[in-house]
Amino acid sequence: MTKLSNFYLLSILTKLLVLLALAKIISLSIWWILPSDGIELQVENNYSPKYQRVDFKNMIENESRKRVSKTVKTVSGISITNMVLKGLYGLENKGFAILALKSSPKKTSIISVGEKFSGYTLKTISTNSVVFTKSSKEYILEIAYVKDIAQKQKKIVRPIIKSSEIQNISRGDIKRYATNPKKIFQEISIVEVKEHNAIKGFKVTRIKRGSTMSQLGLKKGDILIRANNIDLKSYKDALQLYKNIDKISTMQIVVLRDNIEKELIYEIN
Amino acid sequence: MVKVLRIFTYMVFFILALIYFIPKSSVYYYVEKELELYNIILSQEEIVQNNFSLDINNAQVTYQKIDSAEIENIDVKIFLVYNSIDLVNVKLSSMASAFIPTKIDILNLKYSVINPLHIEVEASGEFGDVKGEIDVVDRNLSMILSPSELMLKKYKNSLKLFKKNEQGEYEYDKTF
Repeated sequence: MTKLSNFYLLSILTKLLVLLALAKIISLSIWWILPSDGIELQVENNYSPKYQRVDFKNMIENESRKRVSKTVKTVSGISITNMVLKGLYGLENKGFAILALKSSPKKTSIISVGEKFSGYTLKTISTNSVVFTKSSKEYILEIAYVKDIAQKQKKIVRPIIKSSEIQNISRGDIKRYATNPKKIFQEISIVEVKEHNAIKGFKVTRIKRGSTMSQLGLKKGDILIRANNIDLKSYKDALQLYKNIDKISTMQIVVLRDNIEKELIYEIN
Repeated sequence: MVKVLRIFTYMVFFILALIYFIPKSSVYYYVEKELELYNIILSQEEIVQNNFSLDINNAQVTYQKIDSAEIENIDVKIFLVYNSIDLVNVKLSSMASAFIPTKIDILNLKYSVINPLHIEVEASGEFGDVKGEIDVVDRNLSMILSPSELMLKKYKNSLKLFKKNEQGEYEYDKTF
């Protein structure tokens, strides 16, 4: 009798152990298939420079004035076209220049002040150029990278085709919108615009007539693409601007209107 | 009858053993990856794997990379025949404060084999109390809100999304 009950208990225990082993095998298989790491939010910082309002017209005038005065002060002469100035060291009558002929730009020569290169005598060294003399005439040669930088800068500059005048917004209005975002959506409707599955900007689909929003120069159909140098490529970018709106004194919005970029500038007083 | 009871006991034992052994954190990581497809990310959370449940503490929820909510505790219980997820002390982003009170005390989602086509939803917080269910087949969410005084006073516009019934409760229906 005892033997029989022991056998019965053993049988149950064996079955339970088999079930345990099976559960363990299944869980190990699940562990093998499923990921071992979770997802963490990757924040991409926007490294666009802080927006600063610059009077572009004055800037150009000042720059050209500076250039004229510099040219008069430092060097005057005929440009040399068959040479490349690859580097220079020193100033005025001391130092040397690294030169190459355009026909063989990789073959460089180091020439000190007073030495000759391709029939030209190195006379003086300036910050970005050198002056040669030949048959009592002066010749100027600019360093190669100055031109390269100028070309690169041209590429970086974003073309703002139309620019409007500065508009004033009262800080009271801004505060009202900041504390009550519902008010914004009562006056304006915005939807995302996607291109190749990525947000390109936010399109204005409705503006309430006579509202503060309508006085800002925005029009139905405008696509907001940039604000204070931040490309509006996600809701996060848009909200980032909204969160800091009470801390800024100038706001720049770039909209795409009839496929032309238009800059709207606001001063918050 | 005895045989059926024995098989049932073995099944329960097997399910419990499976729940005990299953790598719950890996299952959670899988759910996280699935949520990421909908632009929902839970981050900075602490995962505590218990014998039969999983606790997720201090999770920060972002939707489309926007900080959306902070959840103090998520308690996940999955017993196959009865499953529940409790979200305790949820604080929604201040951005949401314009539309809804931001504090949710508890949000409970329940799924059991007794009602296999529906997920029950219950929540309470500053907005009042909500009871509802999600129809898994029809992909429909229906809720009944008993609004708090705060909700009635300050969030009248949000209540316009609901339909007021004869009992003074607010009904909401949405197919997704």
